[in-house]
Amino acid sequence: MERISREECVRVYKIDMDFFDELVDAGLIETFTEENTLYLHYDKLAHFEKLVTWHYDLEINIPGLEVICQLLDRIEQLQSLHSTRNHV
Amino acid sequence: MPFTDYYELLGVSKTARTEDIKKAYRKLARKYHPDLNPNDKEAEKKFKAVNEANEVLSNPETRAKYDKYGEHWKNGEAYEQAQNARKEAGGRQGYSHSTGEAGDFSDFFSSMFGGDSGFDFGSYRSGSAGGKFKGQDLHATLNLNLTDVLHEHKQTFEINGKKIRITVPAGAYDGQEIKLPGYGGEGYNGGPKGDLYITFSVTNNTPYQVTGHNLKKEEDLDLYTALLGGEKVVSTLYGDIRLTIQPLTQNGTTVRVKDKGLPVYKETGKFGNLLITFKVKLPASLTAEEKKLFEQLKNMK
Repeated sequence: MERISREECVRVYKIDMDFFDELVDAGLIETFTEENTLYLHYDKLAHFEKLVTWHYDLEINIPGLEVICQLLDRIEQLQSLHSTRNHV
Repeated sequence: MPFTDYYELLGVSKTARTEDIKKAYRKLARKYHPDLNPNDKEAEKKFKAVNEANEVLSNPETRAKYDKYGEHWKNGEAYEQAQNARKEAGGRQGYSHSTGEAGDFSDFFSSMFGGDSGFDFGSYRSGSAGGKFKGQDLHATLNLNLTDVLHEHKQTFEINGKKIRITVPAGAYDGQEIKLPGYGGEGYNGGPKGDLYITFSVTNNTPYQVTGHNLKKEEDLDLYTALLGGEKVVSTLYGDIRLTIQPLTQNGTTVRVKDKGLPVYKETGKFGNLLITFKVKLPASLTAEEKKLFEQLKNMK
């Protein structure tokens, strides 16, 4: 099963448990529970790593991360719309 | 190998405190971090440059060396000293971004500090050295014609100099994104490679209008066939077909030709429909005899 537990995440990435929980509460990462353990699927790991970098390296707080995620989605949408238009 | 003024790059004075340098760096890193500037090569370049400046200036040892030799790096003796001294340079406080090209410092940096031998650019944030991290995800657009997606086919294309052969499934649609795991940038520290996302841009090169899986087209129908019924040959994306026209087919009647639309993605053998709308065409001119016959028809009513 391609998944990593909350505890493992905290250990591997050397982050605070609170930060992980805050990401979950804010809906910034998608997790699932199995036998009372919270897991992150490997698919979501790249996104999670980005959030960790932004928070710990760029000192961006949770509301900031939410805004970034929304705006990045928008940029990607616009970029793909733009490239599609250019090709038609 | 032009000299790079790291102070100017970070917008700090030569006497700035380490704290201020870090602060300035963080501000610029937030601005130019490639994560936050998707598909922006300019930002990536700037990010690398400010990283380099931070690498040097945030470490008192390397900053001292830079201050001493930096501007006069062409000066033989100083240059040599810098070369000899570069092995001593160490430690880092920079950030990372795994672009697959991490570590490409300016020539200036390489000559002063020995490229990435002394530094660990591209590694993850300080404090978590040794971690394995995934490479960058790449995005690409693949242009296709509508007629290309009628059948599954293989297509080769090049991305970042690498040839990639993919299977384009039947029914691939405009704007659809597929993911090729492991085809992205190199991972860091033995971490997995990033993924490649391909967006299909499908151009309609057919005379049909596309609505979902269905295709639509108008066909002219001559007056006599519309009145009396008959047959009409209609072209589809899968070859010509013969349609039976009912007598008294009204102008604007739409008939549904089953399974001659677009293939349904991931449902082999399933197709949309072709909708043909008939436009009844009146004759543009009548011979004297035809006119006489029409008048006879008119008088019968």
